[in-house]
Amino acid sequence: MSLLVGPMQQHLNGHKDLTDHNEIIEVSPSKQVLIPLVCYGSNELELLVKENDKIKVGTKIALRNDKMIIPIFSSVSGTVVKVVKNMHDMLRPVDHLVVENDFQYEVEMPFNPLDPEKASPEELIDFMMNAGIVGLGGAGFPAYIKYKFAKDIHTVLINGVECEPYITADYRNMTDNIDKLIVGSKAMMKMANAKEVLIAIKETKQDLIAQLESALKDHSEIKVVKVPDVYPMGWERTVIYQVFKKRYDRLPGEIGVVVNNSSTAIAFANALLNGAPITQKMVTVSGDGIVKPSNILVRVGTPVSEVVAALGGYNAEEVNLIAGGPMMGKTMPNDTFVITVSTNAITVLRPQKFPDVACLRCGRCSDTCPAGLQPVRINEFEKARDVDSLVKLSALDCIECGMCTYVCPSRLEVTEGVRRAKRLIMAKKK
Amino acid sequence: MKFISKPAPNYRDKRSTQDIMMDVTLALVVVALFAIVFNFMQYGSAYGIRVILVILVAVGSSVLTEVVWFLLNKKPVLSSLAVSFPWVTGLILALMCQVNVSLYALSMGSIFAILFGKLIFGGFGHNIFNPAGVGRAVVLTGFASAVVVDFATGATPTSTMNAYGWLINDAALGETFLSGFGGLSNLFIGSYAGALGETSTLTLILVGIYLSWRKAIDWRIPVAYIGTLLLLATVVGLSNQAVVWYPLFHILTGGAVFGAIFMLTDPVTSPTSMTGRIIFAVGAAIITMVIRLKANLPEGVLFSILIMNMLTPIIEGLTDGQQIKRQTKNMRSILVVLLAGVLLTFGLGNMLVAKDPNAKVEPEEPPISLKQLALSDASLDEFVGEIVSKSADGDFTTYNVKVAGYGELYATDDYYTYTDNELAIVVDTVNKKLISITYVTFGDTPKIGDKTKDEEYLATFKDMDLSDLQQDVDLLSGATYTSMSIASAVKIVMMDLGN
Repeated sequence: MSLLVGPMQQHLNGHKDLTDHNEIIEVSPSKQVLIPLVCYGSNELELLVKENDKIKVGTKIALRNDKMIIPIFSSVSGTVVKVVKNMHDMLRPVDHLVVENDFQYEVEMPFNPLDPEKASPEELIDFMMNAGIVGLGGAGFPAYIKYKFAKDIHTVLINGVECEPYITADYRNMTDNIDKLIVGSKAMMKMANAKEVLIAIKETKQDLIAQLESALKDHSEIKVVKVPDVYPMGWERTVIYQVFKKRYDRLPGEIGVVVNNSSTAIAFANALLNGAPITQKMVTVSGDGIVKPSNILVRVGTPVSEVVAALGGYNAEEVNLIAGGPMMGKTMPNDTFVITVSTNAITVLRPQKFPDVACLRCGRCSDTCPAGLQPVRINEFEKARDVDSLVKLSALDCIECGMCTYVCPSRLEVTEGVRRAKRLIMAKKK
Repeated sequence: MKFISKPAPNYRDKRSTQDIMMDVTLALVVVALFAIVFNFMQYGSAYGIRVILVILVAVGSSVLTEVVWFLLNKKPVLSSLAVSFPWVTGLILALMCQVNVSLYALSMGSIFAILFGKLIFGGFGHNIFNPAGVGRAVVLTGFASAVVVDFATGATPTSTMNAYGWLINDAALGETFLSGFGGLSNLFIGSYAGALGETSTLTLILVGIYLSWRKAIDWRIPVAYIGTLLLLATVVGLSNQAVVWYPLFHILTGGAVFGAIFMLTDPVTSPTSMTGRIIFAVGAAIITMVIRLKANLPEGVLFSILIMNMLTPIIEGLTDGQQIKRQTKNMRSILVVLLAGVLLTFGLGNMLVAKDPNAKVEPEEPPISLKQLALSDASLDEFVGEIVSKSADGDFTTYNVKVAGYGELYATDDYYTYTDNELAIVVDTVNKKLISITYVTFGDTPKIGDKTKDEEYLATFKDMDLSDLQQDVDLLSGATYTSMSIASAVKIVMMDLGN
C-alpha cells in the first residue's frame, strides 16, 4: 500500500475451518482410472505403454520430451485399456489413458532413491527431472528447470501460503510431513546453491508455525517467515514483495530467489527417500455444496464424481463445481474430469445470484489488483475493442487471480472482461 | 444435478454497491439531521420545518423523476430504483441549498439533475457530471433570484468574503468580520447561515472519516482537495499579508469540505486510478481558488467540481498503464499540477485588492469616446435627433432635444416607430460647457434603459465642453441604445453650440 498504488491484496474469508482439522479420508478409485496425458499445457507426449499391458503403481506410462522433460506415472496397478478423450480441468477435452484397476496397488520403483546429503546439485536436478516433480501450487511447471538455470540464488522460498479460500491441502500436507518438508527444502537449497531457505506461512496458522519452528531448531539455514492472511499472498510476486520488499521484471531469479510450493518440496522428498513419483494427492474438497467437506488422499486419475460420492454427494440441486479454489479454479460443466498431478482442491459452491448494477467506476478492482493493473479501464477498452489502449494498460500481465471480480461491488464479471481483452490482444498479435 | 457454469472466480466480497450507497445515504442523513436541529434551535420551528421541507422536496422530486422515467421506459420501478439511488442526488442537492431556496426552483433543479444529469446519459454509472452538481448549477444560475425573502437568515461568510474581494489584510477588519460569524470555532462547528449541509465542518469531517473507514470513499480525494486548498490559500495569504486565519477560512466556509466528501468522491464522475483521483482533487482545488479569487461567483466549489468532471477522461488517459511501473511518472504528474496551481494562485493573489464592502464604489472610467463614436460609429446616426426648443437665460441656454429611443413601438398614421426620448440639456454658452442633462420624456423600455436615468450617470456628462467631444461617454452595458440615444443628443447640442 502506498500513496499511488493500492493495497494490491485483500483479506478473504477463507472458510478454512471447514476442512483444516478434519480427519483425512482416503478415497480409492473404482474399477478404472483415467490418467491425463497432458503435461504443462502440452499433449504431445510419447506413450510408453500399449493396450493390455500390465502395469504397476509407479510404472512410467508416458513422457513429454521436447523443450522440457516430464514423465507420467501410473497411479494404480492393473491393465492398460485404451486412450480416450475426456474433459480435463483445463476446461477442454484431452487424451486420458484408461487403466483397469486390479485393486492390488503393487508398487514398482521407476527410479532409485537418492541421498540428498551425498548427491551433487547436478545429480539432484537430474533426479528431479526424471521423477516428474512439477510445481504443485497449481501451474504444474516442471520444477527442475528453475534449478537448471538458477544463477546467483541466495534464497529458496518455500511457498506454504495457500491463499485461495477453502483450500487446506498444503497446510495438512505440511503438518503431516514436516520431516519431508525439511528434506525437500534442503535438497532444493543445495540445487540452487542458495544460502538459506525461507518457508512462508500465513501468520494465522499458529499451530503449524510452532510445529515447524520446533522442528527447525537443528536447521539454522531454514527459517519460517510469517506473512499476512491476504489474497493473493501465494502468488510468487506478492509473496516475494512481502518477504524481500523487491519487485522483479520476469522471473524471481533476477533478485536471487527461487520459489517452490511446499507440497512440491514434500513430493520431491518423497521421491528422494522412497523412489516414489507423484501418484497420490492431498486434495481439499470443500464448499457449501458438498455434504462432507474434507481433505482426501486420492490417486491421480480418479474421477471427481467418485470423489464427491465418497464424501456424501452434493447437497444442493444446483452447484458451481470448481476444479481448484473459488478464485482461480475453473468452473466445470460436469463432474467427469479427474484428479490430476497438480489438483489441490475441488470446491463445490451453491450458486449466488445478484441484481444487475452498473459499474460505478469505483476503481476497487484497480486498487486491489495484485499486478497493478486497471481492470475497470481494461474492461472499458475491451468493450470498445481498442487493442492499442489494452496493450498500454498491460492487459497481458493479468494472472486472472479473480480479485477484480471478487471485490467488484456491482458484482460484474470483471476478470472475464480482462480475459477477453487478453484474447483480443493475442488475436491481433497473430 | 445441475452444474452451473460461469467464468471464474466464483467468490464474491460481501460489500455491494448497494451497501456503499447506503453508507453514503447514512452519512448524508447525519448531515441533514445537523441542519434540521441547528435551524430548529437557532431560528425556531418555522426554519426547522422548512429545512425538512427542502429535503423532502429535493428527494421527492428526484425519486419521482426516476419513477416516471422507468414507467415510460417500461422498466420495473422498484428494482430499478434500488440500483439507481436517486435519493442520494436529492439529498446532496438539498444540502447544498440554503434554507431560503425556493421550493419550486429546488424541485426544478432536482428534476434537471436526475433527467439531464443522469438518466439521459444512460442512468447510474454512465453520467459525466455529478448529477447533484448539475441540479445545483441550475438552481444557482437559472433561478438565481428565486429565494423566499422572508426566510433570509443573513449573509453567509462566503458571500461576505466575496464582498471583501476574498482578501482581508487589516486585522481590525478581520476581527469584525470573524465576530460577525461567532469566530473560527463557530465556523468549525457550523452554527452560522449557509447552505444546509455545508456549514458544519466538524460533522462533515466525522462522516468523512466514517465513509473512508467503510471504504465508501477514497480518503485521498478529500485530503488532496483540502490540502491543496490550504496550500494555495496560504500562498495567497502570505503574499498579501492577509490575516493569520485566512487559509482556514477557505476550508471552514462554503462548500469545500462538503464537496470534498460527497461530490468529488462520486466514483461515477471521478477517475478510477489513485493517481487520477489525486490529480482530480488537486485540480478541483486550484479551480475553486481561481473562481473564489477572480470570478464573479460567491463560491467556487460547485463549478470546480463540474469542470473537473469534464476533465475526468483526460486524467484517466494520463494515468493509464501498469500502476507499479508508473509510480514515478504519476508522482511527477501530481507535482506538476500542484506546482502550476501554486504559481497560478500566486499570480492571481498578487492582483488581489482588498475591498471594504462599506466604502462607496467609484464609477469607473467610461470606455468609449464620444468623438470616436460620432466619427466611426455610423449607428449613432440612426438616433436621429432634433432640437425642439432653445431658451436662453443669461449665460445658460436650455435645449430641448428629441432623439429616437428604443422603447415601446407605437403606430403613427402610416408607420411604426419608437417612442422618442426627450432630454433637457442646459449649456453654458459663454464657456461652452454642458451644465446638466435631465429627461423630459423617457421613451425607452422600462428596466433596460433605467440606469441611464440615474442621476449619477447623467452627471458624467456635466462640464463637458466642445473639445470634450473627445471625452468618453459611458455606454452602460445592457442599455446601449439608451446611452447612444443620450450621446446623440449631446452631440447635436454641442454641434449647435459650435456653430
